[in-house]
Amino acid sequence: MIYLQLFWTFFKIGLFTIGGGMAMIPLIQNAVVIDHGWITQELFIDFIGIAESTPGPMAINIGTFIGYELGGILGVLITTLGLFLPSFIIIFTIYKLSSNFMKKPAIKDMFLGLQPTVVALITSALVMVSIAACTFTSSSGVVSFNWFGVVLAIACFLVMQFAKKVHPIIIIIASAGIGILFYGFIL
Amino acid sequence: MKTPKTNANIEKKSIKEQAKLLCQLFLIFFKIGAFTFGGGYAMISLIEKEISEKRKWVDDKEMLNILAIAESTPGVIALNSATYVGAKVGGFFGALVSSIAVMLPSIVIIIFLSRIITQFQTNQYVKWAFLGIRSAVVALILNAIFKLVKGVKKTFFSLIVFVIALTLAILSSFEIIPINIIWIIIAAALTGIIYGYFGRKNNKNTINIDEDKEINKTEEEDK
Repeated sequence: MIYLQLFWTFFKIGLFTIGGGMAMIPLIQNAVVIDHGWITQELFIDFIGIAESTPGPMAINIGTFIGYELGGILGVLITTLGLFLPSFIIIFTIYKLSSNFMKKPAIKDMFLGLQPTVVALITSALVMVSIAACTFTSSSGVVSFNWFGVVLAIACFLVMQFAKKVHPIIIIIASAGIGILFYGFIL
Repeated sequence: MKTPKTNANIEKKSIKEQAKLLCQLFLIFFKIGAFTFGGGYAMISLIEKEISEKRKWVDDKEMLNILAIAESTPGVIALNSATYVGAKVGGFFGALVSSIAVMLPSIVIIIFLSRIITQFQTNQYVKWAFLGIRSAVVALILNAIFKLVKGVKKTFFSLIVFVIALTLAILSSFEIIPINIIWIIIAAALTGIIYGYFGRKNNKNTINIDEDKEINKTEEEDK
């Protein structure tokens, strides 16, 4: 049954994300963390970090990870098949029909509604991610505010805005190092 | 007179040539999957370089069209572009081989990493490192939002859609209202179609010209 659920979940993710990459995060979060509770919010964020610093499309990376955690190699095949099928069917159909399909006015109009919505969905995912990233949960379940998490996030963002040539992987590796240094030895 | 000839030539391609082409497609997309960090958008420049600059399988204009389709259809951008380019170069099997090849490196690397991660999850150093990485992830997502906002036309309509979608999505994330975000996406697409349809009906000629101009402008700015 888990295989059927995995397939259906990732098929829907593949079918309903437009814009790829970060636009997939709200859908994956909604399905995997909130609806099914397959992984925790913290592990999900950790995995966004890993997916960003390993090669390949992010959705495939996250799909593979969750498939492997829940169903081993067969789970991986099923989640990637789920992500792959909608893309493949839609693109192949468009290829067969006409490449001018996307220029139809109705399709253009659709994006008037979709563009701001994609931004809104990622923003709501950011709210959830920020809550998990800027709090500590102790083993007894007490939640406390992590001020250093906020400071580090702002610092990373400023680097991305003002030093655009710095690759995200370098920022991720540096923040891992700073994390060990600060949380391990200073705090 | 010329077209049927070339068509016949394509169909007559020997099995050997076909196999060679599929192998080439596999290697190219495997390489693209293995060496691009940061997902879809980072892959696009590599696909352009390999497919249109180096091998001239697709010309520049068509490449742009393919990328526009890949970005605006549902699904993983890298997979979409691999499927389309593969179909263009090698038909159905070309599409299949290219999209499998672009996923394969990810799958292998992540399976390998998953084992390591689950083993070291309780390690204190790994925990500290990930606490740091979480902050970077917040910044990455915020950065992605900033980039996306630049591409959205700022109208009163898009602001309203943004506010409503955000409110619904947050309420759904905190499980206050039982709404799947897929419905928010479907509703947004329909709203766009209705708004666009009536918008065009109301101001027939003048607005259309203006819109086209604006679209051209934003495209130029993107470049």
